[in-house]
Parts: sequence; structure tokens; C-alpha cells
Amino acid sequence: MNNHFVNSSSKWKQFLHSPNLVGWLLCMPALGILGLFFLGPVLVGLRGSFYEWDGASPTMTFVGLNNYIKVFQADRFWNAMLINWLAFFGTLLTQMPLALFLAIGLSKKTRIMKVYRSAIFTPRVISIAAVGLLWSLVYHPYRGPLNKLLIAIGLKSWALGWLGEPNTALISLIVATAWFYFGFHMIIFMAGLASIPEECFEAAMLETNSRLDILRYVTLPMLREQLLISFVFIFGGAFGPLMGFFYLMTLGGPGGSTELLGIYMTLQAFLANLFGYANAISMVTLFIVGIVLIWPVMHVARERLEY
Amino acid sequence: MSKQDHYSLSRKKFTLRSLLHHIFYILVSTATLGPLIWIILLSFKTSREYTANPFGLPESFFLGNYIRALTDTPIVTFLINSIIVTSAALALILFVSTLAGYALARIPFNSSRILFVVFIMCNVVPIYVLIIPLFVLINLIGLSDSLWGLIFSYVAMRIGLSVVLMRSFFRSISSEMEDAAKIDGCNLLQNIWYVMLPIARPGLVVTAIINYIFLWNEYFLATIILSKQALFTLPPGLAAAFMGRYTANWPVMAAGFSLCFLPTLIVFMFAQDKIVAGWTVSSK
Repeated sequence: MNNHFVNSSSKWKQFLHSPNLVGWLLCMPALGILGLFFLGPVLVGLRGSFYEWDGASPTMTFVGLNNYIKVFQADRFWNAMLINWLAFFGTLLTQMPLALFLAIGLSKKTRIMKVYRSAIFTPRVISIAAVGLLWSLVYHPYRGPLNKLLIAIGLKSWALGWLGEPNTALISLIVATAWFYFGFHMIIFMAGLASIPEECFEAAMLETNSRLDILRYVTLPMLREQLLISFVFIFGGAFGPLMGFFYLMTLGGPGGSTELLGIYMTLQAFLANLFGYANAISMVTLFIVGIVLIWPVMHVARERLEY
Repeated sequence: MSKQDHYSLSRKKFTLRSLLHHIFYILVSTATLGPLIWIILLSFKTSREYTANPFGLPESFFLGNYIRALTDTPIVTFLINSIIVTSAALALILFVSTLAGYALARIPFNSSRILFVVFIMCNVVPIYVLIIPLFVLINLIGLSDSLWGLIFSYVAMRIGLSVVLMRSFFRSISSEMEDAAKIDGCNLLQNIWYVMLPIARPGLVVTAIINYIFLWNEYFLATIILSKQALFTLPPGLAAAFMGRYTANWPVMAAGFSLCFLPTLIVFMFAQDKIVAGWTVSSK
């Protein structure tokens, strides 16, 4: 590869053409933007979390670890933490089994299967804002099509307030999220299934007739990589973009029943003007996300570097 | 026998089992497409018509809702902002990720492994958890009154994925072409531009489409970072101008939904396989 850069006589030219320099130079624009707009917020947030600041005035008061102490003492923070983990497990348990089941069923390459596949992952290309608008209509208690449908088929007692009641709001949002995302995970699993060598199945067929055994001992172990990636996306989603969807639909309500950490953080900053406190929440959340994701990321990276 | 047959038993056609499978797939497809078809039909109904006939076809394809959506709200401004943000961010993403992806795939330098892990990490850690510090930072460096703060944030969000994608596309090209170009006296940038990029163009298109879908649709970052409505892109504009304000007139909201969705729907219809390819490569 480096012979790309030979034919240069002087040492200086050799240095200019060394793979190390060229490699770093080519990565520089990407790293520069990441440094300013990814690492930058981390540093700004870390610094800000040690100060009391209303977000507008020029004075910032140093308060040490006070913001963190206040965060860990706030019931509302622990409620948001609980809701966030519930949202994560809820989206995981609705999307993964459904996506896996459909991927296995739909991985035949016939035309009708492709039609199903397209129909199922279409929602994924819609904006979260548009999805929010759609589902806020669907769940509307009086005029919404869901309740109209339930009443029309005689299930009047099932026609609930959906997003308006603390008992049903979170689960309604999880269902809407699954509607939006699970086709994406289905595609990931389909790609994984397509890369399993046929001999694996044929060998297994000699041993057993049970579909469940094949699923358990052949398919799932061979899909380990895809399951891990799916987990990473769902986890990152629950602590990331999901906050936008929930923010739009319920703003964390009713009664904090859908208040994710991100929504709590945003409201503390923009409604209560507690920017230092919000920065502390941001850092705590980043820490949790980092701890959970570091192992899968290293694993995926190692796997890809070897191939 | 293909391996999928072990699951769906297509050898015996039209068994009860395969019928049940199809019924299940049709149910799931109805659940995913149903709400979409419902809201698109709604956008052609009048408000009164919806109350009388919430599910059926509209009596006539009434376009008044679209006209109201386009003239009553600043949706045209949002559309222009969306086009600016999407194209600027897309150009930047493709430029920086082509260079970095090429370096990671083709240049054997000693930090390439570490850098690859950095890019993967930036891909999976959601920048949303940093939304307040990011907002503070953008104000600090004085980008809060323009679209640039948002554009650069988007680029930062998408670099990780795009570099990983471009790297895998560059890796799949054989090195013979490169060697030939070198013999012909191409320097590195000429080599990337004239030799590698044309071959990697399908990969570039996939990266572009995957990013387009994200950029066109992103809502929350835009809502928080953009300081005033005149700067809003379509998704926050849709939420601000339609939700709440038209609670009494659903068909206009539905028209807003359709106007936001239409460009993506067109891309989806023509480039579906590219979207699938992008998701597939990014998950491998």
C-alpha cells in the first residue's frame, strides 16, 4: 500500500507521504467535526454540571458536586430513570420477538414476501414528528379512529383515554414506537439469516424435527451478532431519539408516567431554567449509556476489524 | 431445498399452516400500513365528512386541505429550510466520510483501529443525551441564529455510521484498480476521485439515501436547537404549526402529514432496495 507514496527522494517528502500522516489527514475533517460537536458537548456539559446557571445570565456560580447530589436526591429523577428502563424493556420485548418471527417467516425470496416486507418497514421512513401527529390522532379519546373502531365492534369498555391516562400512556407510546421501528429490526435479522450457511440447517434437520430446537440451537446462536446490534439500537433508542417522540406526544405526562430522562432534562433546562442541574442529568445519562454500550461496541468493533 | 423451507414448509403448498402464516402477515401489514392509508385518505376529506365517515374512501378528492396547509401555515418556509439543512448536511457528511472511510479501508496506518472504534462509538451513543450541553455549546459559539448549528450537529451525529458504511464499501474494491492508477501516475486524491469513487458509487448512493431519510425526518434536535420558527425545518414545523392549532380540523393536519411524508415516500418507492442495503451493511 505504501508504495503508493514512493518515488520521493528526500526524507521530508517521505514524511509527507507516510501512511500515518496521510491516514490522519484524511480522517481530520471527520474528527474535527466530531471533536467540536460531539466531544464539545461532553466537555461543556461536564463543566456546566459543576455550576449553577439559569442559561441566560452571565454569572455562573460554582457549586461543586451539588447538582449531582440534588439529582440523586430527587424523586422525579428516579421516576424518570424507572420510566426510561421500562420504556427500554417495553420496546425491546415488543420489537425483538416480532421482528425475529417475521424475519424467519419472510426470508423467502418470493414476490409476495417482498410485498409484506415493504409493507412492514414502510413506517420506518416517516419522520417522528409525522408519526407523532398520526398517533396523537389515532389515540384521540373521542374522535380517534382507534376508539371509533372499538366502539363499532362492540368493545365500548375498551375505548380508553390512551395517552391521557397514567395507566395506559406508556404502553400506548411503546406500541406506537414498535409500529414505527420493528420493521427496521426485521431487516437486520433478515440480513443475518441470509448469511447463515444452508449446511447448518441441513445438519440440524438430520438430528431433529423440532422447529423450536432448530431455532434455539442453530438460528439464534448464528444470529448472535444481529441480536447484539438490535439490542444496541433499541437501547440507544430508548435513551436517545425516543425522548423526541414522547416529548411530542405527551411531554412526559400525564403525571410523569412517560417522563424519560431526556424529557426531564429538557424541562429542567427550558422550563425551570436550571441549566447546571440539567447538565448533571445529561452527564449521568451519558455515563449509564456508555457503561451499557461499551462492551457491545468493543465486541462489534473487534469482529469487524478481524474480518 | 432452501433453508427457509425448514420454517415455512412451502414444499407443501397451501397447507393450513402456510395459510395461517399468510393471515398473520396480512394482519401485521394491515397494522403497519392501515394508519398510513387512513391518514392519507383523511387528507382528502372535509372535516364534516370525517365525522360521518371516518374510515371509508373520500367522496371526492377534496384538495382544499392541502391548499389551506400550504397557504395558512409557513410550511413553505419549513420546506425551504429542510431542503437547505438536508442538502448542506448531506454534502458535508458524504465529503468527510468518503475521506475517512477511504483512509480506514485502504491506508495501513497505526491508529486506524483506534479511530474505527471511535467512529463506531460515535455511531451508537445517541447525541440526544447531550442535547442540553449541545444547545449551550451552539449558543456559545454563536451559531444559534442560523441553520449551521443544526447542520453541524447532524453531521456529527451521522459521521460514525457513514464512515463505517464507506469503509466497508471501499474494502470491497479490489486493489488492482488502485495499483493501475498508481502506475499511471495518479496521486492519492486523484486516485480517490477518479478511480475509487466511481467504483464505490453504489455505496455512496446508499450512504446518501440512508442519511437523507434521517436528515429529512429528524425532529427533536431541530426543535431544541433552532431558536425561532422562521428557522424551523419540516418536522418541528409540522409539530408547531399543525398539532394543537388545527385540533378542530383534522384533515388539514393530515394534509400537513402527507406533505412532509411525500418526498420520502417517493425516495422509498424508487430506492427501497438501497435503504435495505444500507441498513444491512450498517448492521454487519
